Amino acid sequence: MIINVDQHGGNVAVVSDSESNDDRVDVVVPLSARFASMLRVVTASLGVDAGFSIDEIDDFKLAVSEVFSLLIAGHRGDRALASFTIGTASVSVDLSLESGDRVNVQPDQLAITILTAVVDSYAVGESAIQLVKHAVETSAING
Amino acid sequence: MSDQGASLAIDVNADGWTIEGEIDAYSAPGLALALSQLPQVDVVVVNVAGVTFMDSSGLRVLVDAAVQATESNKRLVITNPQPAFRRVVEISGLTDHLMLLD
Repeated sequence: MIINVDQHGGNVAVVSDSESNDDRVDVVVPLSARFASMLRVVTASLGVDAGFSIDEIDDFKLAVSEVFSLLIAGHRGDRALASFTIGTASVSVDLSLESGDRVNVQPDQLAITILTAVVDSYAVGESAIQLVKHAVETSAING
Repeated sequence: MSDQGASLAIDVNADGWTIEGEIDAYSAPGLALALSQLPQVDVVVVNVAGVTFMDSSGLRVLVDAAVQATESNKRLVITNPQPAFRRVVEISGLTDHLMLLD
């Protein structure tokens, strides 16, 4: 599925690609703070799909929001690509620039502390920031 | 296009503010502006019972407000935090800087 949000067209366009893998969701969103809440809604929905607990969903939303803010700080006015992959009780997301350009993010100590606490792993690469979150609490309950 | 940004309501009380909604990079500047004018009380209360989300943008605003209060010989108290709010403060290591009261 591909969700493409265009702030210039006056509408939110949702486009489904039936040929794409069902467990991958790509969201293209303008790098503007006002779209952070929309991205969190998508993040929460995919967390539910992966079996995350409420606390895990809150953590994952927080991580995505932090990274989105970092991207805005370095690339305001560009467009971000959030590429989610839903695995078995896990979700990973690569946040990058739609253009494919190198990302320029500089997380401060507070952002690093938060990311370290709320996701299982994060990696700042040249072309994307990757977050990985596992449904630990659900796994523990289900044995 | 309609406004997609995080919704945040800030009500002014005699001793502080009552905040409802989401605090993120979009809504934090408005919150910072509101909290920059401390009320004329010794204990400034920020009631966050209705805050459903907060990221580091909000933390920075609240820490700045707490520092401003201290410099004005006041104390800033954050009341009724939801579990998610409290967790953000705790994992950030800011419990010594932000006073939370249930």
